[in-house]
Amino acid sequence: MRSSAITSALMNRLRNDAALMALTPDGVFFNVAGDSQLGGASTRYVVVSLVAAVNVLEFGRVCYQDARYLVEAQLRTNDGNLTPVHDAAERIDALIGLPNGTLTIPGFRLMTIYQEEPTEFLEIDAADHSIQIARAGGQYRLFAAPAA
Amino acid sequence: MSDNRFVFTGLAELHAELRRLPAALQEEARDIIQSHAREAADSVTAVYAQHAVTHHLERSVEVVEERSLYGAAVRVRVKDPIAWLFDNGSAARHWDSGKSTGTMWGKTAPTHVFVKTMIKVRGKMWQALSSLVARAGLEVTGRAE
Repeated sequence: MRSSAITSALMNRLRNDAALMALTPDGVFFNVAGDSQLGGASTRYVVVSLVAAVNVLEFGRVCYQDARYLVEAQLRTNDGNLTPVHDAAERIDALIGLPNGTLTIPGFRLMTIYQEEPTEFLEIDAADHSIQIARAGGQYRLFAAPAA
Repeated sequence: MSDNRFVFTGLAELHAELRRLPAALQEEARDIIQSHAREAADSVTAVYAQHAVTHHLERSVEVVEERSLYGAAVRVRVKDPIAWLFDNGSAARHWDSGKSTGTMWGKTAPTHVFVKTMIKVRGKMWQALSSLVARAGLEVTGRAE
């Protein structure tokens, strides 16, 4: 059982969606945004981070994994326009949230994935207030069972 | 910006059995909830202290007790607004050029330390409460989150 397969599947699901990549063209990153896949600094991207995960045991083996991920679109803005980040968050939820979200995880069978708590935040640089990052997305709860 | 907060609530079946406990055991249940909330708060505070510059963050951790006729609840809260960024990571606290912003940190990975700690301690608390209910002769068959 390779738990990192879940993270990879989640990130690939987002990366492979043309509509989301049109809104966040710099890429999908784990924990911290790196350089844009288009070159230069990233200003429109998605960040995925693992909040917590636990293996639930039954009959002496891992029955399923219960994991929480923070999945957020982060878009630089100069005018406080939050519409693009909301659009990106909505697209993320369409891909991995209820009712139609799905995920193909090698070595696992997805039981369910859903948004447990939405997040929305405007982060303003303390030193330069013109640097603002609009963040929106949510904490997603995921249950996946190891494939037999 | 919202405060970090975590409320100990959960399994309906266990709640129902806890409400039926005799008064003496209810006091014991309150002690279990309080001690776990304090353990959670102390654990988070210890992590904050390792990253302290101003110590505002660690000083802003609160354990707030709420009692009623129907039970006890304890809220672990971090009032400093920087707590949200500490848990969920920072994207904007840097210059595009990479120039230092003085005492502010650069973009950072999320620690999720608050949520992780609360999930871990909450699990321990449910086990302790389930044991208490079992000692009272009742049975809890559900699984607490």
